Amino acid sequence: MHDHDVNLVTDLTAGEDDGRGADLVASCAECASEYREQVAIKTALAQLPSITMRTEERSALRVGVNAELDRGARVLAFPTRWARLGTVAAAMLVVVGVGGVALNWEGLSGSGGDPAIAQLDLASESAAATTAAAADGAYTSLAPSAGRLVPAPVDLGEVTEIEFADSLTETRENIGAAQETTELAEKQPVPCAEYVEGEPDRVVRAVVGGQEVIGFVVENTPIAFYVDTCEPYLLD
Amino acid sequence: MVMDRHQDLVFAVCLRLMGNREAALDATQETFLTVFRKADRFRAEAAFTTWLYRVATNTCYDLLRKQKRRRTESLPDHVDPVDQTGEDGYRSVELAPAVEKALASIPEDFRTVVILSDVSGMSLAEVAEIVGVPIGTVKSRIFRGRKLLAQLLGNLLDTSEPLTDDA
Repeated sequence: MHDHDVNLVTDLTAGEDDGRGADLVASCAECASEYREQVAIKTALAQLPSITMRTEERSALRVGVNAELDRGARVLAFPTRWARLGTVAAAMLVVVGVGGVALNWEGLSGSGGDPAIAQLDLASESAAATTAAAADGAYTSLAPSAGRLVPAPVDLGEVTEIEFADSLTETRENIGAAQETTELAEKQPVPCAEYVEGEPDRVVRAVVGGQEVIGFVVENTPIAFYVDTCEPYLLD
Repeated sequence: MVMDRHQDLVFAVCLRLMGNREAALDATQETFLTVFRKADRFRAEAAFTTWLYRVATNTCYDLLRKQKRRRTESLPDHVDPVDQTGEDGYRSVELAPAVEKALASIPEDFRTVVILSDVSGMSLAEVAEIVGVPIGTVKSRIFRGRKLLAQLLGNLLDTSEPLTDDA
């Protein structure tokens, strides 16, 4: 039986053949048959009518996107003094990149989640969120009344911009180095961080049902609290 | 605006991956939200449309996984029907509903590359970049995907045309 190379047939079908596909098809009846079949399917697919959105779908998309972006802007709004820090402050935000945990709030909540918090992009927004958190001023921290969380203070009190590097130590160093040039004297503790056991990889704020929530990811395990009381926001 | 320019293309891919308009609209919205939120991470070495399609297909995969999970938990025998509302010109090509239905029934991995390659007209290299697999894998998946479609469509398709124009 002829050992035909399907990749060459695909190259030929795609118009990306270097000559070997054509040779193969010319010399192998089975390959030629498969080539005809591939072309027939490709032709049928190419002739499918184009799909366009309906007017109401366009409207829904625009409204939905704008609503989500507006919500994000509201949660993540920078106070003026932060805006003034400009690019220097921005340079401080060592954003977690590759290898981060994509925290899916809906999935984690187990009940479909709150639409206000759905699909927050932790990696790109947590920096801004925690910056805003710091600039918002002091927070009242009360002990969680229930849940699996063990009060185990971690030394996050000195960290305003949170640990956006792979290690808390490294990020502290980054922030410490930047402090002299950006006058970050108004640093505030991260709310509810004292109830987090271990070093968070990510921190994010969001709004759930009109209440601010702060979430932490520790060793791939997310936990969250209502900011104003530090009551656990149960994710499962 | 980015969304105005690309929304139909993204929606079309999402509709063919998701199988119904409502889910496709959700996926389209999530796609653009992700794009806007991660715009700072877009690197110019990749074409914007390639990146956009990659976000769209990943978003659809995520939503499909959630759909499957929900179905497993609640409605194990239910499968969403293919969108065949007769709108958007579906009626204009007699074969189109059968092709769409067959396309919707092949495995996701095959469906995605076939849609990107044969419906959206992307090159093999672009498809490989979008789905994040080697180009050889893309070629194999496209071949096998078309093979499955041929089996599903049976003799609806004419495969007897000559190989070349001058044959």
